[in-house]
Amino acid sequence: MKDVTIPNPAPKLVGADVSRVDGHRKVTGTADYTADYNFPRQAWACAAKSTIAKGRIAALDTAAAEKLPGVVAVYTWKNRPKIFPPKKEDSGFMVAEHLAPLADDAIHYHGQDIAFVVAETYEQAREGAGLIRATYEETPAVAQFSAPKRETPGKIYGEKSHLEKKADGVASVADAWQASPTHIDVTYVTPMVHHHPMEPHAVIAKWHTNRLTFYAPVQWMYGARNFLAASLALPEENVRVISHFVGGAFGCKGSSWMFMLIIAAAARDLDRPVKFVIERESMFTSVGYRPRTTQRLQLGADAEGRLQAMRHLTESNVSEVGPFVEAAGHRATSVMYASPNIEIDHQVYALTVNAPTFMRAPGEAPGMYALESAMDELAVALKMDPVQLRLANRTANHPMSALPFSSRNLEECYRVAGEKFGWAKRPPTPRARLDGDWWVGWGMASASYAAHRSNASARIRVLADGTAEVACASHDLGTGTYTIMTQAAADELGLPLEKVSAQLGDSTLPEAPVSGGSQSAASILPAVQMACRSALAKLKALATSEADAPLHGVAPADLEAADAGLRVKSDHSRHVTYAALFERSGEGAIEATEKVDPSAETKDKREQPSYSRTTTAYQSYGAFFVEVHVHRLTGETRVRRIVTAMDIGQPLNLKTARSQVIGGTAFGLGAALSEHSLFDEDSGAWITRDLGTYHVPVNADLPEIDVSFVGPPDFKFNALGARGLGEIGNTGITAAIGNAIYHATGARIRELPITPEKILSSLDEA
Amino acid sequence: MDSSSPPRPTAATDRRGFIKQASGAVAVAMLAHPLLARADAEPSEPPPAPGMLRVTLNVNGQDRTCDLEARTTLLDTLRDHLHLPGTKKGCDHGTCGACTVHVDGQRVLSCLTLAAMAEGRKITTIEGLAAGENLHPVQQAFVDCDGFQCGFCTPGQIMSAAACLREGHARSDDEIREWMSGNLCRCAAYPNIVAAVRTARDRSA
Repeated sequence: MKDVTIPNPAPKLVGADVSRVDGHRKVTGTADYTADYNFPRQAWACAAKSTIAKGRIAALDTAAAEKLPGVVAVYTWKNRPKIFPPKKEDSGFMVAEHLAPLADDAIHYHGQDIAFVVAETYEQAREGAGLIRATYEETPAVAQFSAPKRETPGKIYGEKSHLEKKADGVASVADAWQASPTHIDVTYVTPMVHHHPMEPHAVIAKWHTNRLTFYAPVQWMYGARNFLAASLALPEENVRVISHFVGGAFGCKGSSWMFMLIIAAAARDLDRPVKFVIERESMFTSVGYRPRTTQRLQLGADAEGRLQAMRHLTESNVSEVGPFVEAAGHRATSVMYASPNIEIDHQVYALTVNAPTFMRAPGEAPGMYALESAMDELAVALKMDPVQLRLANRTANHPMSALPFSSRNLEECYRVAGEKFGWAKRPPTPRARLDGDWWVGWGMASASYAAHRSNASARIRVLADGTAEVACASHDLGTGTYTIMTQAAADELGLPLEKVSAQLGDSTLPEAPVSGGSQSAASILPAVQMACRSALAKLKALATSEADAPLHGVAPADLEAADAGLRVKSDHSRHVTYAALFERSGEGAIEATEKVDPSAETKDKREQPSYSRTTTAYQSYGAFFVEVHVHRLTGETRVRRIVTAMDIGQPLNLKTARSQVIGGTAFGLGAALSEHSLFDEDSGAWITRDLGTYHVPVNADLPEIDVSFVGPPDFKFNALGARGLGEIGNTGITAAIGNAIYHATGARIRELPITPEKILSSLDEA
Repeated sequence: MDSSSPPRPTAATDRRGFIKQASGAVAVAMLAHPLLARADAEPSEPPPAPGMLRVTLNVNGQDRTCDLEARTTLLDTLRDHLHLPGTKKGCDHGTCGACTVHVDGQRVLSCLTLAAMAEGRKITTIEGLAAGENLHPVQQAFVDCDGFQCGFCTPGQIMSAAACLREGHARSDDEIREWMSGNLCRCAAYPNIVAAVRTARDRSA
């Protein structure tokens, strides 16, 4: 893995190039995903969906389904099993769609669940769902993007929808923009796109009297538990959610969805386990998507390229039943460049459509696409190199709050990735190189994602045989959580990797936050460390306190964990294994659980850094350099090279860190070139309904991706110096590809995805 | 079609062939069903329930018999009747490749194959790829090269990769990319999958 560089190689397992501890299970087909489970007496459910977008059900004929052999129940709004749908103000979980399921005869969007058929077999349930016949009284849907009134949303990530800063004496940011010697005014459109993890959502609900065991791939164990408990009127401890493996998520498994509730209630009603696996086509209508954005960027600069004014004005759609706002400027223009005048505004419009939700880098992905495309256009207008333009606008402080960044090494990202790429040899003008029938272009863009942490707990057990178990109710979405938990515990306890096992994906384990916002590793590993240190304190007492203890007389502070036991720091020959300690004491295990609350951290008490959002801004940065080839006759784009450098603090595992960056990059490549959930503005229905028409990148679409990690560990952020990196890979890359296509062809496409027909029609003009 | 073209699915796996064969297979299965049941069942075994079809499949070297509705796919049979859930359902449409298994040595989409169509053929799933405790070279290379993230598409990727190597379609990275493009990976472990196939090829050489 020679293309990965690490600035501060950690001496131990954390930071090393470690293969996944769950790799063997994944390659042998023994990793247990939700739909892999089947239980005795289990029934299968399948949903019938509305075929209109708005109106009411005039008649619902369920007779044919009910008569079908094997069908055990048909649930509709007339016989909904007993549930208590959550209210908007409820907390402890996330709900994207505020629509009680099977509530009444009203239809709120195309593809809404109107009936659930439960049957003995999957085949019977599916046939039964197909036999449900609804007749509707239709009313007009709001489906035209341009039709609805634009409205000011509530808070966007805790901020007002309109943000502004102005230099003294400036009347308005618009005036400052107008007065700038060079200014551009450009508008970009990003379409609705869907997550499409390879694992469709699945749930199995199983009751034992009034206790529910619920299998479901989720990004928030405790959130799903709390949602189910609240909605089924159960104490939280009566609900156990299990999700050992999640087959990809990307945001669509973060919120709880109402079908979870119906399946749980149906299983209670029928007194047997019920399994529900949604079809790929329902992934378009039932589990969220990224909304459409229209972003107007007005950038003004002086002759040296210094930004004088930035305006980032966004409109995005929400749903009539889901308020999620796809921030853009708030998550991009607010954190990137020095400018005395910045204005960010966001307006929304409600469509008759299912609810949108978080999708990998929500806000940053479209926001950084527009900003970094506009920066490229400004560089063209200034006749400046795009990297030089960005260097001219560097900042050490947050552009809006003026707080200092804990660690910001963006310029190092440009240097490292730019040199590897060979950027210095880039011809300044577009359409400079034709290789056979292919125009060759180079483009670049910055990447950025905020660093988050939340409360997290972890438990460690050191067992009599000298092995250890580390546990917390976090999630492994392919992110490598099993592996980094194991690495961290092994380091703290001085154990080899194979002596530590990790447990997660179970709501009976200590609480972990939602695996979203790239916060899991940064949140849970400090708790793992703390739990290990508490366990070590107990082990040290075993080793020293009694008169005949093996290391009696040594102060606990003079002991350290090493070689599967404890040793004297100043004399490594004085060592006792954990197994020997347990044998002597007769105890079966030592256990410790610790919680880390980032806002309560103090340096002295917990050996943790002072983390404070009121004094410091925490943000990761990166840079992408891309080479594309665009066919002069067909308009086909092939991405030939991608070089990226990421400033994310300490990578916790070089192998999985690199994989996460590659995954994010591919997400952005799909957004740039092929992904587009077509929405019919006449009927309010999705047109793309399968993976044959919704084009996620395939193997042949990706070139080698050269990943470097730069910058020091960020110890102001947490004790590991790690800021997390699940999402930053999907920021900036989309712009870098568009900028490279411009450089190749001279055609600037401002509406994603950049498909051959858009390139061809622009080539005529270029 | 020249030998370096991307793979065409076998007759049983492309959509048109599927519909043709499937309707034929169901018709034959329905007609032959009582006879088959009598022929295959042990004398002491009760006949299958009405409407059910008794099917014997050779999976991972073992004959496995189960009673199915004739419309049951090979994928659902493996997962829900034969307790082999390693093979995954990603789309049920033949578009994602997660359900790839080997039938008589060829990669086949098990979601587009009825179980009844696979009788008498040798089926290999991800559970049967390793030789006992020893991982297949492709499995080991996937671990070593981090050829997965969430792992959901991985059984299908590995079954395709093993076939790709056997077919001789892994001579260059570009060839691997092309011949592995029928298996979607939303985590986009693609560069590492290419590295894994290349590594398995070189280790086996």
